[in-house]
Amino acid sequence: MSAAPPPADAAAAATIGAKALPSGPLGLVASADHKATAVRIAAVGLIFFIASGLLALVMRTELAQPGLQMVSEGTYNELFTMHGSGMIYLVITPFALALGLYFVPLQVGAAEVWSPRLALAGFWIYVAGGLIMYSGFLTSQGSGRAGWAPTYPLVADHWTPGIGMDMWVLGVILAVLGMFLVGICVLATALSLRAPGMTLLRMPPFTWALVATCLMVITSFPVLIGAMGMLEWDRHISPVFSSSGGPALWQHLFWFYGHPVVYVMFFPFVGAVAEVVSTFSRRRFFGYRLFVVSMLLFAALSMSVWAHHMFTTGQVTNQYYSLTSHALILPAGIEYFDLIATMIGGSILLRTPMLFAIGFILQFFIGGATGIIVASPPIDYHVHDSFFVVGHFHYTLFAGSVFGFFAAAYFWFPKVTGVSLREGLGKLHFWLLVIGTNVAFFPMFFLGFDGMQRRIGNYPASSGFGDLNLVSTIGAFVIAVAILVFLVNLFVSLRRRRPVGDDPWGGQSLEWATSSPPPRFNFRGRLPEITSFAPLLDRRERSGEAGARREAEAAP
Amino acid sequence: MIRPRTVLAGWGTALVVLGLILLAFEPTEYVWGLLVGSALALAPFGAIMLLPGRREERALPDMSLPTVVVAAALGLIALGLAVGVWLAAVGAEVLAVGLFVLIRELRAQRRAGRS
Repeated sequence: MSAAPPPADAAAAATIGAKALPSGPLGLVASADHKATAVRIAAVGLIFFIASGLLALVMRTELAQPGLQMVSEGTYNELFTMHGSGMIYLVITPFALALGLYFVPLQVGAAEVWSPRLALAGFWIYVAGGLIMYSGFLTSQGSGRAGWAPTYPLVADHWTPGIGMDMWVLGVILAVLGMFLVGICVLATALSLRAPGMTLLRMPPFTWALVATCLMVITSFPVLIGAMGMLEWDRHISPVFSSSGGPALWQHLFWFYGHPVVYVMFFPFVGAVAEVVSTFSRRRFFGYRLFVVSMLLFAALSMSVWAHHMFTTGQVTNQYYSLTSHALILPAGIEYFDLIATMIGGSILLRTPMLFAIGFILQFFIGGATGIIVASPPIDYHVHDSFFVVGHFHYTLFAGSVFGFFAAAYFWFPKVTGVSLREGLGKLHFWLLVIGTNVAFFPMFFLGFDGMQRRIGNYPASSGFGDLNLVSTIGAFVIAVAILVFLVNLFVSLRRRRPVGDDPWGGQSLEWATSSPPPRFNFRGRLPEITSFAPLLDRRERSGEAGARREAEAAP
Repeated sequence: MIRPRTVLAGWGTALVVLGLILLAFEPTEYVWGLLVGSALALAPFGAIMLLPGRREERALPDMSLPTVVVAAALGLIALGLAVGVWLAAVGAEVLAVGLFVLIRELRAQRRAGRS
């Protein structure tokens, strides 16, 4: 296949025209451009998002009333397993890394991602993994049905037999492997392909967030791949986890991936929200260096909290994991402080990306605060495996990360496509999503505290859980309407295109210095002088000062 | 100025320190070994990522169909492990072909980069 010369100065690079995706079937399948690969990951992630969301709607409909109305208990097991694993392995992690794959090379002034082939391979391996996981529904015994975070021996062949479960395990291996490869590419790009002048401490907050994310990816993802491989060995060749201590070993290996991945699904959106907040506050991001340190500290600490998911097993030292879990408050507080301090004194523009960013900041706080509760062993003993935990992680992953994703999507859509999403539909999407999210997930805290267990489709009328479950189900359908509005917005905006120029928001980092969409090798002309993490803001300030000087000199 | 290797070394050191603190609480080897082992596993990644001189030799591919074939072959092998060895064997053959063509493509690209 054709190879282009390396653009030492990106201006020397050839371009393939201004399109978000290369045309032609071969280009759609095999283009190695990092931007095309990232858009494909996001598009496939959106399909899995819709599929996994529909599974959630069936679950919520089943839970709206006591008893079983729509599905059997076995089918319900499949639904919550595929909903959870779909969202985590196939949607939010890929969304997070797709943002990094698209924008990190642009933000550091690179012409391409490090090893574009590896990223391309990562994408297709991820697609294969997702298809294999979902194909389990076509087998006679159904899909994976032991939960997104399965426990041993439930996940052993004796208790969960069938090809569908094997397909789930193997699909997870591929999906995680695919994202692992993408993570390597993003990290190596930030560390080794920066433009001249782009020192590490001049990288934008989003790029630093991706560095922290990818450090966790390369450290934790291989452990899950290994664990799942051992599980498949255990299911069919010889026992691995059935010995004394084996189930605890399985949980350690799983959660060594399972907790950091929560931050893999969070940090990129914190970074994106930092970009949105500074751009729409018309201010330089506050406390940049402290933010960078806090990101790295947060990431390192988050690698050491995994066994707080195992407090109730009696197999772990609760003190250590409770201590490290509580220590996360420090870097999280710094990040919150920086985000809010950036807004203070700024000239805030409440456009759709900013609304989603503020929604992210406020709602993730609920997820974080309830995280402190489950990080405390005495309270965790009460709420473990209850709907309280379901509410907690939906506030972090949906009310937090998905809002952060939408902030990023509305913010960077003009850069990726050359047109902006409709503002009116965007605001409708936002408000519906805020209402739906809180109506759906807040009642779960009360349900959990009152003793409703997670992963149960059938509860008795005498439990008194019916009313709150009905409210939660109504909220889930409002979320579905909000997502529908977003899809309509996508369709309308791409169909009736309104070009918005290269820098519609007054961006601060290098991606706004190139055309929209960016050309094949990202930049056509010389890069702006890089003097800080906000080179375009620097340029505006310099030209503003120069203009003021000229005016002063011209004045009589 | 912070250098890339400082970031990786700092990350590895942080994991080792956390692992050693965990050792004080929990003597089970595989538990603290997860942290320390992960830190040690960073070394080859760091070496590959930060290879000097890579940038000057870079030539960038527009498309790479063999890469897609290799990825698809891995998918076939994985699916084959669940549904039947015959499919895994087909996947292995496709993988061999894909790798062969991919190596040829990489060589051609390297030649193009030199010229």
